[in-house]
Amino acid sequence: MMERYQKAMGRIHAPASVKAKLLQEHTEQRPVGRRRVLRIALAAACLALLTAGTAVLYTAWREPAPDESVLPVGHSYEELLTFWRNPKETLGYYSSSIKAEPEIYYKTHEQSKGVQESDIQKTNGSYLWRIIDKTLFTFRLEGKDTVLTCKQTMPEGVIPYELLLFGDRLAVIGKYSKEIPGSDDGSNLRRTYVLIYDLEDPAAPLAMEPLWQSGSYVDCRMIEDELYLITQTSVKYDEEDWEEEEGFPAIHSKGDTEILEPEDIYLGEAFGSKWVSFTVVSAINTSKGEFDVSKAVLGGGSLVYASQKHLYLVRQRKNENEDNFSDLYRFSMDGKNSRLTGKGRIEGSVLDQFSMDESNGYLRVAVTVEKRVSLDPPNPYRPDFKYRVVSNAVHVLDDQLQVVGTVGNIQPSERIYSARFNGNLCYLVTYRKTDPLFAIDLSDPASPKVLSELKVTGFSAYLYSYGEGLLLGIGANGDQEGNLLGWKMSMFDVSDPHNVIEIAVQLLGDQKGGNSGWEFTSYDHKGWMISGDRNLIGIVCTERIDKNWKYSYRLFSYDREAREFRIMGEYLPKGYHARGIYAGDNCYIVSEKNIIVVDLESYEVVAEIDIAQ
Amino acid sequence: MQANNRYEAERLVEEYADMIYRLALIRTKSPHDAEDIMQEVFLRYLKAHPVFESSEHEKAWLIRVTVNRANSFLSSAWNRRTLLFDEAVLGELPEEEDGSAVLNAVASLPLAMRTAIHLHYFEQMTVKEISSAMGKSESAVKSLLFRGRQCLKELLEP
Repeated sequence: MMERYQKAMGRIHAPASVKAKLLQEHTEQRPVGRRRVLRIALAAACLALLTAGTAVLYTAWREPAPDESVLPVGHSYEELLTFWRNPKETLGYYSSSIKAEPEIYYKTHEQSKGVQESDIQKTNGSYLWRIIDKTLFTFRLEGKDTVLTCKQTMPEGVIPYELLLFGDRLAVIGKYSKEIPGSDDGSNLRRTYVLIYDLEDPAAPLAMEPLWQSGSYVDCRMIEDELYLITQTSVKYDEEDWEEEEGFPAIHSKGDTEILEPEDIYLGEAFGSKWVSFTVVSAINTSKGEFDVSKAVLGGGSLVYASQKHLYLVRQRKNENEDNFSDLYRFSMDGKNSRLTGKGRIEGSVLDQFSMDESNGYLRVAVTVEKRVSLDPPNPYRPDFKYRVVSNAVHVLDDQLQVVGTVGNIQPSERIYSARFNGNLCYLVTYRKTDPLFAIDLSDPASPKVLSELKVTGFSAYLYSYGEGLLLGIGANGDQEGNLLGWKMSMFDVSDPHNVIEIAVQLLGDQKGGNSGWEFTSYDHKGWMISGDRNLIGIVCTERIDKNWKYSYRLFSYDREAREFRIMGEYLPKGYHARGIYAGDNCYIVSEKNIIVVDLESYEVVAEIDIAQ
Repeated sequence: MQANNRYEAERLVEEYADMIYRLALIRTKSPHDAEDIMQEVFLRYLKAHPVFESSEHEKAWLIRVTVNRANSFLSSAWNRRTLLFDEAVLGELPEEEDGSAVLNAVASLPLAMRTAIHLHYFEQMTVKEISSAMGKSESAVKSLLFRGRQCLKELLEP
């Protein structure tokens, strides 16, 4: 019977005409070489000239702009045809406008909704990918039957950092560095690799051709399948011995290396030193596995904040008076059309990405301001002496990146330890001895004002909007004298911003103080699994018990009625870097040596799966 | 570059066009859809430019992509109603061979069952390979094959 099937099926062939058509189409698609790129660049330049000409005419005629308030229009016949021929893209456009379903699996915290941030592990609900050492592990998540389906090592010399995931694309960001032979100044060849994997078979990710960009990895963001990668690179400028183009930022894809054209590098800030530094921002289409556009800025910055539309680079600087200030660069995140759209400068320095927020066209930034002030009257013995004054401020900037409003002089002599914006409110934690939590009203951009101040001991290093008028703070517990004792987690009731109250406290680990204090400031917020929707908090705890260290992972939930944290379970991972992720009815605690599968009904361990290195 | 690509394209079409077409055909039962799927699979290969460890790996990937592509075609109402092979396919087979009966018998099986039967008996894939291609557990594939054989026996051996 089966032989008959084989025989009959074997007689069926794909039609020759279709085969011929495939062959033809396939041959037409060839990689773009450098020369071709240049030709395109030339053509683009001509086109730009033409467009500029048209633009003059256009303004002269004052034609009304096409109405695109509901749907975009085609600006050329070609655009209409391209739109028509790519139904998949139309679908993507459609689905993105549909409201997201309630979260059934854990996603790395997104500061701006829809803007993905990288992490050492990612899940799509059915599979989990994790970087351990130099290997990418793939697990199929099936509760107690969870299995390792694939283990892949990185290309020679590439050290993987973090992952990003969208649809059937998984991107690994990794570093590659090597000493340049024959260089006597110890210069290194630093590259940031992007290895994109096709997840058609999610159990066995398939590597596409690797991409790289010059420089050390700074940060990245991803909106749907478009990845925005930021790196920093520098080249030593030696007038005696200088070869054109050498050491300038470059990108590499599909076997071709391209050096960024001078027209793609903005003249940001001149530092005058021998080392010329660049910050490179690229948009990468992960579906196609290629660069859409790469831009660089001289100088630039290494602190990155992204709203849903813009990417900001911040550089902290000091003037000759030692007063601190920050330069801001704004890029649009617009795929192929991404470019620099603004530059600004503000007083003070920015702590981290959570100190910035863009809303309704305004950028709000919380800063710590340091100034050197002369004594008045001056000290007769040391007339030049200046003392340092520290205070905090929140600036509001318009879309030209000009400051339109500032609330300053908040808690002089303390520094910002954490910040979080929520709509028109900003919560700010400063610290020296106790932990004031400020609520700042930003509804009038021209005059932001402090609404309330709550003093508690210790400080929160990370603030998270837990939903329904609750703000979760994780940080250090301290005493009235300002000594740090250990970790703690606080829930604040912020339903009335004029009257913020701490309603629950959970101490984490031992409270013996001592030298573990450094951990409070060098944390990684991605290490904590926090979900207000699921009412689940997963935290790693390190404690000293007698002379031994205990490393555990704990799951908490918050009881809104009783106003207290509830410990749901304590688990002992075999390896370090334990991270929790929930998917469906289970929580998976993945460390470097094993996975602990926890049932989220009973909080009991249903399986422990060893990860063989 | 161009010569390489031409060579690559010829190799792909030579080795896999029929395989993809047959699998798409047994799943969609429409030569028209099978042609479209074949084009999509090739296009996807072009876009992804995947790097394979071996030819088995490449084959497995193409099968997996074909299975997934064919899914989107099956959702149309027309496809759910059509039970048997299109005349256009059967017309190509010589009358005296009893090919149409066995093809139609396989085609009348439920989708997952006929896919598993095709991959096992025509593409000579192991249960493990099928389980990975279809995203089902090995025990599920085994039972699909077992029940598929039983159904075919009933249909073809009176």
